[in-house]
Amino acid sequence: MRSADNPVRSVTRDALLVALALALSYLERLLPVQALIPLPGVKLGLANLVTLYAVCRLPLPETLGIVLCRCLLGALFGGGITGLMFSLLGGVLAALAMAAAVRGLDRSLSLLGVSMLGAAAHHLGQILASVLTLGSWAPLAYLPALLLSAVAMGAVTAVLAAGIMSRLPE
Amino acid sequence: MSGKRSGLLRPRWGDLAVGLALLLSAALLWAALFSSGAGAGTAVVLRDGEEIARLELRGAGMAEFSPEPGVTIRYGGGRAAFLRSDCPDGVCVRTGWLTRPGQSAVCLPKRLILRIEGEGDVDAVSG
Repeated sequence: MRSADNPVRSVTRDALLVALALALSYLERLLPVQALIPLPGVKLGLANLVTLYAVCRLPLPETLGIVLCRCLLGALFGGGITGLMFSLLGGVLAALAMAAAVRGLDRSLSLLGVSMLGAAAHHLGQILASVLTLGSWAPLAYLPALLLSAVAMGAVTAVLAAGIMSRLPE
Repeated sequence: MSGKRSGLLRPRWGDLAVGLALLLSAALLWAALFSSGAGAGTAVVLRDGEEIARLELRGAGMAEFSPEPGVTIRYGGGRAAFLRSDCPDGVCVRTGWLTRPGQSAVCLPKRLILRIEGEGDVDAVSG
């Protein structure tokens, strides 16, 4: 694999991906999706776009490294310690789910299924985080609606990712 | 080039399975959480998972309860909602009226939960 051949190249690329993920989560906060659907956690998942690219093109440890850096820096920039738990649980679960699913890519799954699974895993992680934060199972009530949104938003992310990847060299 | 892109997005049987599985689990979870036929009997207010108040919803008139300064819950007539909250995201207020047992509105910044319980849940068990 080329990333192993040239460490400078892979460090630079990973740093760029972390920066891109942070910029995308910031951009996403400006989109008024929550004004249309008043549920905590409903969003396009633009930062997951970077994870989706990473699980398709990079080894899993590198993908997890990118997710961890994105979450830590995101918390530093304003998420706080509670925010860190939310983004870590959501981000890592999504990365693991998509890394597992991506093995079926081109055979039994397309990017659509991979991305939907990632979105669902992300929501599951965040619900888990709010269950832990609040010490109550009440947040589980949001999960059905969030799973519906995972199907829709996961498909949107997949279309965006496919558009990006067809334009980027391997 | 465009052939490659459509390859990444060309739906396979697994995509359909993933989509259906997600929709099905949403539906099952929904049914499990909200299928109780009972009307809304009580609204429970929790902070940090601890119950701080129980609001009777069966009266016809509306009343207000303030779990802390800046937050107002309006309840009565079989429903309850966060009327006002000075939390940064306002998700709790936009959740709107809760009318069925199992429904809840969550204010994460203030760690408050408003949850609806059924009419005579306890009676139903003992009876």
